[in-house]
Amino acid sequence: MKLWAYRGVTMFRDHVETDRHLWDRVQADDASAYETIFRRHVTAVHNFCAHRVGSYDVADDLTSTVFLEAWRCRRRLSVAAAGASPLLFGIAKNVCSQHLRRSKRQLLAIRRAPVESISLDHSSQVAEDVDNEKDLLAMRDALADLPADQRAVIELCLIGGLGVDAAAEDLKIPAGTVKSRLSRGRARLAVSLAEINASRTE
Amino acid sequence: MEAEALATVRQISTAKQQAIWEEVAAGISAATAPVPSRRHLKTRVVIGAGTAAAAIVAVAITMSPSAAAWSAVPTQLTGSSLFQAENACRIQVNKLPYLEGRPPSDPLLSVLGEKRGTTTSVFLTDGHTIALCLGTKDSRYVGIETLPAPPGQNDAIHIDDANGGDLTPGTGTRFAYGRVSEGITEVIVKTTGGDSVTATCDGRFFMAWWPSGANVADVIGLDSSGRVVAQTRPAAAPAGAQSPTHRPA
Repeated sequence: MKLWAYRGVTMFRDHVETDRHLWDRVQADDASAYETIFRRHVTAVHNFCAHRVGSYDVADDLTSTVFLEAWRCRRRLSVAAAGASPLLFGIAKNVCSQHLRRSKRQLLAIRRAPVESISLDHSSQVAEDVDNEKDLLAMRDALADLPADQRAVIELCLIGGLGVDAAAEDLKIPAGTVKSRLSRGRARLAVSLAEINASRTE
Repeated sequence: MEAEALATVRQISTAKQQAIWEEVAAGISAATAPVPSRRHLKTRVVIGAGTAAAAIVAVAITMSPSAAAWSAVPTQLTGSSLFQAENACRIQVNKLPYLEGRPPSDPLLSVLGEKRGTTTSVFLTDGHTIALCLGTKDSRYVGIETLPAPPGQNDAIHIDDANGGDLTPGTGTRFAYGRVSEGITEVIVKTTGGDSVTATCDGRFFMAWWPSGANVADVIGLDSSGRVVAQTRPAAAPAGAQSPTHRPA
């Protein structure tokens, strides 16, 4: 496949090229540069989507949609000095919102379903996956309870892995404000999570 | 300062990364593939005009399917192989950039699937649109168009699209599809290049593709005893619309 033709070069350049430089090549239709950006950010985007929709599996599909959308819009989008994460998170936010709107009814049904009614496979892996998804759903609900400004900082720093300075640049607020929102958001998240977990075990 | 991640943040495996990348790469490949020229588009619409205006919603072309492994007689997909092909096709169709924001309202379900050599193709419909995925892992065509009006009661064979797309403009790979009346269980498509292609026929739909630019000459319907019960040909191609008949190497 021609997309892979310059893979070796890309892998070498991986260590020296910033997202911004790579994006210049992406804008010139260089799919190998885009693959490097993909490898750098796929985990962060996947986690971002999983926390928005409450499912790691659904996040698989949404992640590919995010990267396809970023490619589609490559000519009119630009990458900031902080890297491609803010750009990709912005797209992910829209993609997740679209998904949630489309599947609102199904999600409500899932949330209404008593957890006890889920038939568990005897495999420990399956049980572990179910636990992980339950934790993720609790986290999603807790995040939804946060004020928008705190949620944005939590999503960028604690889920997306952005540093404080990069998040400050993306949100156009001082780094000190990021830190304080992070701190307040974290505390509030812990309280919300405890309440959600308590209500689920009742 | 780097903040500590939440407990639910997890690394995704290399295998999963690769699987997602392959989805993305396929979409990129489809989105950057050459768009059919206006001449091709015009030809399609004119030929389709006799078949109730099949509005083309979206067509994405990647590379040509392997002609070397093509066979005139297909193997019909059933059971899990059809289910897998259907799922893979639905994912591709829903990701067509052209469909953004207006996905099919009802689920697209397979009406038929087949394999010719190494090339798998599947046809999906939600009753309003019809989607085709044709190709191998590295070579794929994905298209979707409005399902033309149902055939009249007197139509034993109704050709919905005889110029099934110039899948590979210049080198030529074509497909045709349509619907048949109840008694027809087998359909043969004769091309202007002299090929006789056995269509896959199921659920009153038929579909065939062939690795040449030849057009449809005749479509012949047979009943379960092998007797010819109907024969039809598409509306005449516009004057000057030459169709190449060579086969790609």
